Formats: sequence, structure tokens, C-alpha cells
Amino acid sequence: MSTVLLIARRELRAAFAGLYGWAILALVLMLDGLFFNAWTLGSQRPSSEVLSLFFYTNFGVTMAAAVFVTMRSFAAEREQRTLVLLLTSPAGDWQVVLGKYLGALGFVLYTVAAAAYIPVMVWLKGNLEWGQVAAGYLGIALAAAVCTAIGIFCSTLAPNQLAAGVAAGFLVTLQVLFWLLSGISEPPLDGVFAAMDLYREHFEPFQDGAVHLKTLVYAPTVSYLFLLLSVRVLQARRWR
Amino acid sequence: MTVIVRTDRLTKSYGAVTALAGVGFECGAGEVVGVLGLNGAGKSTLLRILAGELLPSGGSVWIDGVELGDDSREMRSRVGYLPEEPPLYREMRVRDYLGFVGALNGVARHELPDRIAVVAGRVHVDGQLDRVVGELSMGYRKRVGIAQALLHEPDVVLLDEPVSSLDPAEIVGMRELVRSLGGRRTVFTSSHHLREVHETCDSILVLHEGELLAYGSQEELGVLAGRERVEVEVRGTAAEAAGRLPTGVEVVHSAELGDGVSTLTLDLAGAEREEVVAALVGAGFGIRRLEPVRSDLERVFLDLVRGDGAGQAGGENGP
Repeated sequence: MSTVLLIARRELRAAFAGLYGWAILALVLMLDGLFFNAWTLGSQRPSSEVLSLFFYTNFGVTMAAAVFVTMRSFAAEREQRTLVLLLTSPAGDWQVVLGKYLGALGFVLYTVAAAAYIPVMVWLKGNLEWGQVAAGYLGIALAAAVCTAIGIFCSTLAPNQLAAGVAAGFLVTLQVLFWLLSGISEPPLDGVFAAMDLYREHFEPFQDGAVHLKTLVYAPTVSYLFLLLSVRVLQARRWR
Repeated sequence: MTVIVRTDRLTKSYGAVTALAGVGFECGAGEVVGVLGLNGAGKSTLLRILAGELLPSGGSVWIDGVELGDDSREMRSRVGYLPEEPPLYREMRVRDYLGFVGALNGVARHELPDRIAVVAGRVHVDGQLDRVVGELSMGYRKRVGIAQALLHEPDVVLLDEPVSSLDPAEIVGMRELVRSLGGRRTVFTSSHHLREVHETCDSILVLHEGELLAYGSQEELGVLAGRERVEVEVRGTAAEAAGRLPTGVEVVHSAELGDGVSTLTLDLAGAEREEVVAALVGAGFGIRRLEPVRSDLERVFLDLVRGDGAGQAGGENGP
């Protein structure tokens, strides 16, 4: 576990060592602030609706942040030829992938936390339901876990950062568009697609304050699946 | 000889391209081994497999008795590896970078400061520890790369082209550094620079198109290439002695030393030293000295890769 945390800590520090991490953080804060300003400030919406809209926005922004952060993960190390350091160390492939994953997820959650001033404003000026806040942030964390795992997988697979970003962007977008596929599919596929939809099926209830057990199973399962695939890609690269 | 690295019929293919084809050798503890070959010979592939970065398509590798595949992590903990391009995180300070790599390789946290100080002093980067890696010259980056490979005190150190991109002064320093690593550790160093190999290595492993052409000391490779040379000091004139040599033996160089003594450098061209001695003594020449001459590595290497001689030198080196 110490090796996993060691790698995760380095990832997190590396994100803030250059402009890249700060740029993502600034973008997240800007988008969250702009949408909050445009949709809720000056309106007569109830606090629960304001908070729901904030989580809706934050969900999309967090997904984008996960893609931008993870596209660098393995792909950048491969481009800079530093990945060999991890692959020739006594660290196992699972430890490397988990360390990278937790580092990236830590950064994504940091961006989420940085925008927490918005719920604080709602609390100061409105009537905040703490249950909705907790559920919303739990939903954001679960969605971030899924999107980060997808991004890590794409980063292990892609030859460069751009390709990793495009692939992760596509897969993450697909995750929130499964409901469209569900609408045009016949049973039982429509049910399968609907169950896989990240936003409507698994996040929307959370933003309104409802915690669903199926999502508590879905998010770790999908995350594990993509991390397992990432490990397999690393192992396959040793055989290539 | 304590065998520390052993490979057996080691094969690696990249699709249809065979990078290594049945390479087998044994290497003793403390040896400095030069891995020599033209571009695409398989040098880097061999080192990457020994480092545990790649797995072989066939054959086996043992490092200190631990086989790659059985417990690759255990094997990797016994190896320090510097790829051709040092794997450095440019945004980190040298001290932090070495601390990270040391911890990654299992060095206890409380041991790290001392270990970093010792290794940094050894590779002469102790004055650079608080600098950001990205600001270092290529020479210092290579040295930091070697430091990270030494931090966990591995049994085997693998250096892929350690002098590439270095200026002449840095090359001299690197040569001394590589030489100094031998004895306590087994070092593999690949290079295009024959002089590096000549001056730093105890033995040489010649790869060509993925095949092991030869492995042994420089003298042994000279024999393999059919180019064993000896220097003979005789009482008598060089011209007369030259006329009495066995058929095929060539005089490469001769000189009169005075007092009726002369010296001849001979290319034996397959003849035995005993034949030379017998011919000269039979002709009445007194032999004052006979000793082998180190062959010119460049010539030996080219003879080997052109197919003039192939095989393994030194029975104890072959598996």
C-alpha cells in the first residue's frame, strides 16, 4: 500500500508542479462559477434546485477534468520515457495503476473541493439541506471515480496524450449517452444500456439528494473493470 | 566464478522482427560487461529484458538465481537500470527525485537521506541535489540516472549507452564512474563506442542481428576472430627471425632493440604459440619474452560481425 500511496503522492505533486494542473483547476472554477452565475444568481429558485443545478454543472465539469488529468498519466510518462522507472521497479503493475489512479482521482476531487464555496454560499444565503449536499458530493465522487478509471485505461492504451484524451473523451461521453442507445434499442438491450448510463441512471438521483445502492455497486465495479484492463495493457506491453 | 546473470536461449521478437535469437551466456559477480553491436543488434532489448521491463518471447533469464517470470518483482529489486534516455521527472528536485526512486525500490525512509548522500557523492552530483532536474546538463542528468540505478544497492547495474550525448570531458568522467562500479557489482554497459568498451570492460558480449556472436575477454575475442597476436623478443635480427616463422604467421611490426636483440609483433593467423616458439628455437634464436598483444577491438569487432569468427570464448562463460 505504501508503494501505491508513494506513486499517488508523486502524481498529485506533479499535477501542481507545472501550469497544467493549475490551468485545469482554474478552468473548473471558472466554469462552475459561470454556470452558477448564469443559472441561479438573481433567480428566485429554491435552494434545493440551486444546489441540484450546481451538482449538474459540477458533474460535467468534473468529467472533463478527469479526462484532462488522466490523459497525461501514462501517456505523458511514455512520451517522456519515465514510465520505465515504474515498470523496472519492484512495484507490481497493480500498484503502479492504482497509484496513478489515486493520484489522478485525488486531483479531480481537489478540483471538486475547490468549488465547494458555491454550496457554502447557498448555505449562507438560503436553506441548505445537508443530506442533499452529502448525496450530491457522493454522486460526484462516484462519477469521478468512474471517469478517472476510464481515463487511466485510455492513457495506458494510447500512444500519446492527445489520443488518450480523445479516447477518454469519447468513452466518458458514451457513458452519459447510453440512455440514447437505450431509447432506440429493443429489450433486453435497452435495459442494459439504461443501467449503464452514468448520468440519468446513476447521478441524477444523487443531485436531488437520493442515494441509490445500485450506483454504489455500479461505480466501483466499472472503475475496477477499467483498472483491470489498464493492468492488462501494462502486462501486454511487457510481452509486445 | 559466482554466476550472477544467466540467460538461456533468450529470444525476443517484435512481430515479425527477431530482436534476440537464442542468446545464452553466464556472467560472474563484479564483472563489467560491454554489450557491443551495430544498430539493431539487440543490445537495448537485452538490457530491457534483464531490467524486467520486457518479457522474453522464449528462453530464460536468471539474476542471482531468481528467474524472470517466476517472481519478476523480486528479480527487478536486484537490478538497477539506466536507459539510454535517463528516466527523470524534470519538475522534481534531484534530492526529491532520488528519494522517490529509493522509496519505490524499497529503501527504508530513515535510510534515504544517508543513502542519497553516499550515492550522490559517488556519482558527483552532491552539489546538484537541490537543483531542479530539468535545469541540469545532459552529463549531470546521466549521473543522476546512474544514481537512481544505484540507490537500492542492486547486484546488477545495467547502463544503456551511458556516454551518448555527452561531451568529451563528461565521457572521461563517465568512463571512470562505470569502471569504478565494477568489483562490487556486475555492470552491463552497452555502447557504440568501442573505446568505451575497450577501456571500461572486463569482458565483451558481441551481438549481431539478435545473435550472440561472441562473449569473452578482449584477448579471447581476438582469438575467435582468428586474430591472436603475440609480441616476441628474440636474440638475433628481426629479418632473420621473420624468415624462420611457421607458414601463415605474419609479422605486423618489428624493431631492433640493440645488443643483438629484436622484437616482432606477430599475427598468428590460427597458428599456435608453441609452433612459433618451436620454429624460432629450432632455428637457433633465443626467446627472451613472448606475450599476447591486446587486439585492436575495432578490427576484432568488424571481423566478428562480418562473419570471420563466431562463437563463445572461454568455456566457463558459456552456459
